[in-house]
Amino acid sequence: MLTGHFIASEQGQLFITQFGDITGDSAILCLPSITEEMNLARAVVAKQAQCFADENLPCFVLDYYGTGDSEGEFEQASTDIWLENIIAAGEFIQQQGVSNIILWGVRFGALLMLNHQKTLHQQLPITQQILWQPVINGKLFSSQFLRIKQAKNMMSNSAEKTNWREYVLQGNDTEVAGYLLTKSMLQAIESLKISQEFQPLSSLHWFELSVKEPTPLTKRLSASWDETLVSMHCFDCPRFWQVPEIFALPELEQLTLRAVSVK
Amino acid sequence: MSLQQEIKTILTAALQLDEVDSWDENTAILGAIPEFDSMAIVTVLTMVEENYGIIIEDDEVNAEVFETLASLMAFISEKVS
Repeated sequence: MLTGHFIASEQGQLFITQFGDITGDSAILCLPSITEEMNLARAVVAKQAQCFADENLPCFVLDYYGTGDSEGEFEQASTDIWLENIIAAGEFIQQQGVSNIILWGVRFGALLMLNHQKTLHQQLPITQQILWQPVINGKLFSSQFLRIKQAKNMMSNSAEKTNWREYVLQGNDTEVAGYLLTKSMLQAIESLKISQEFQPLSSLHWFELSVKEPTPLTKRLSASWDETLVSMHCFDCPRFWQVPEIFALPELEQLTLRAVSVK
Repeated sequence: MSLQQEIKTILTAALQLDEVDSWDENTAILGAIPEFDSMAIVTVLTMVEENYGIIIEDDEVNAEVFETLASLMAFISEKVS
């Protein structure tokens, strides 16, 4: 069953979509990507959530403050508010009788999750973490995002070249693909990074997507991790977070489902 | 795989368009293919960077790069060499 919930947060109501009924003590909390990626990936994320639900693993998909159907505007949000939102969503799930939360981060959601891994594990009963094509470096994410602005200019045959990053950092709020990017948001996104020192605090299922083998960067990052906690998976599929018209990836659904073991 | 075929593979994935395979060097892209919008440009650039392990600075890219398959090939082949 599909249910929508509005839950209270300090800034405003947050929208959470629930896939499946709670039947045991475990549930999945999905932390989606943001901006255009969140929209493009929505169908594949929903299908995966339904796949979990069909196997008696209810799944909750959070819309962060200022995104999706939650209250607020993107420019009013911050990465700190989004961390609070994740905790609020986790507490809401616990109130429904769940004592075992599996976090599932998609792209930027995975970056947010790993950056705040310690806080999240202190505040919520997290037992496993699933990552779908994590953004490793917030700066790369924001430069790809700003590139949309550059590409739009290019398409309108504008000869004018603007360094949009510098422009935003000078305090000029700038609309990119329908989102107003502020200096503080850009700085906050750029400050997020999965560092070389990162060590998983619970079972980690890392999915590298659209590749046949892990990238050199992922290999380097994971080299020092506790092998008993980490499983790495590669799955060659279209880049559904960037490319339109991809609505379901059934093989990825099954692969992700199999990785998650509920004891 | 030839560079042309590699680039066609990237374009097919980025645009989700099977007809890319039948394109020749003179096929006009930017402004001619409706699917080739600003998001597609970003996706193509990102995929080129990831596939070839190179970094493309924004000021290196302009509309002419995406005019035809040949112009895109010329740009990438220069970046890769």
